[in-house]
Amino acid sequence: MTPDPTTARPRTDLAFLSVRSARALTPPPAPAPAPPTPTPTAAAPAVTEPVPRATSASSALLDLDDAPTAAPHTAAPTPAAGPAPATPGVPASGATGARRLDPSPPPLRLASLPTGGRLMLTPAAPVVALSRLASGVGTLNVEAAVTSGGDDLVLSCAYALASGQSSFLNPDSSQRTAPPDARLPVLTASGERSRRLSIDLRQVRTLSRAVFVLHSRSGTPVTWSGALLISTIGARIDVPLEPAPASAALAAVSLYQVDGRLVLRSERDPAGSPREACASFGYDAIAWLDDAHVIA
Amino acid sequence: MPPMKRGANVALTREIPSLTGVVVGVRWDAGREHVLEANLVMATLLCDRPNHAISDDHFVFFNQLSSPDLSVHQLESALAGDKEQIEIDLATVPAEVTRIVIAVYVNDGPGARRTLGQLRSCTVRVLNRADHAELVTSEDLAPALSLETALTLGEMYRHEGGWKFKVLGQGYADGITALARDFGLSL
Repeated sequence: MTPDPTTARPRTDLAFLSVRSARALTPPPAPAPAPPTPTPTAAAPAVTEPVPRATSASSALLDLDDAPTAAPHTAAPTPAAGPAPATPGVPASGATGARRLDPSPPPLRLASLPTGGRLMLTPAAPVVALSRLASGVGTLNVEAAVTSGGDDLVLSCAYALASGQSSFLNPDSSQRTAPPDARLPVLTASGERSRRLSIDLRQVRTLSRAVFVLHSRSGTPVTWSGALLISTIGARIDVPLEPAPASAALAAVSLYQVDGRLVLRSERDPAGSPREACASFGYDAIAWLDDAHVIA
Repeated sequence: MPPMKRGANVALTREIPSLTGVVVGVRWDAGREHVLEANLVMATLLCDRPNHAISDDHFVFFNQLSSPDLSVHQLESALAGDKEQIEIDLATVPAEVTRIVIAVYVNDGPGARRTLGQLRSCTVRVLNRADHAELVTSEDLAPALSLETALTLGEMYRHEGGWKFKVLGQGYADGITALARDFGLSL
């Protein structure tokens, strides 16, 4: 039994659209049988009719990525909701509905940071996405709170910019900002014993990705203990290192900028050197001087 | 029209009934403070009541150029001498949005701290989106600033079925953190 589209719940805002677009997470078999049902060319308008009906019966089946499908459906509730799609007075529902074809990108479907929250990335839940607001305000600090290795440990970072430039920032060198020739650095090393890196979030869009690497100066394998502490103005993310096997370098956390949102992932990937750790994450366009330093 | 002082307001749509959209432009002069210049950010908050942004998605700035309903968006390249501009399509602003607050703040980056008191001048103005004619402009808000690192410049708000614009000029010494807290946003 299919409900009448005119009485179906209207799509009135983007958040609602986003929820429905979560269809991709549902098992594919359900949508598959649906398309073949109507006859292809027999009656074009008739084909569009059943789609909204099926949708209202099960919102999870709606394909919101398809503009033609979305358009009639957004338009449908308008007449039902208001008397007439007339002109200036009632623009809020009618006009906005018509413009919803260009919404924000689909949700990342990753864990989001709770408001003002604190989160721990674990092997079971290794990924978190920050909102665009949290990703664009203030500074993102990454600090190594590591008890192993003593003063021998350094927190460094391989990065790739949106321009395509990539390199490696090793605070244990003369270069403590990145990119090297920037008037306003995107990455800055600070803190005692070279264990803090900061990202200027005003420039978040210029950063494409990064991987934070812990390593020992001497190249001695380290049994990792402690955590990386990642903080923004209002949130903190802890990344324990414990499950990582002993190694001279550890790719601890990767960072990706996805359309203005920062996505952080706990990696805990051991490597024989920073160079090897970076290479394993695809940073293969870096001119290395040795296993831990790049050519200036 | 003389510059509007803090607290002054004007009934835009009553004065210009044909007004369907506005461009709000912000101008500032940071002089030789290049770091301040680079860290100044314009933000627009869509509110459903005074001092309450509807959600984090209703904070429009360089990293989120449009509101979810697309009625407000920030231009990537400002024109006509403004440092930043936002465009508001008045007809498509959702009914729940009763106020649109325009602010500027200094991003608290890794470098030395800067304040808005270092600005030589700072004004906000409203243009008719149809012909880019300047409708109103504010007085220079900079002289009253000292240690503030965030400032609400002005707001568009609904009034008797139309839209008014008011010059605010309220500063925040704790910057974007205080501004966000004041408007119920989570950073």
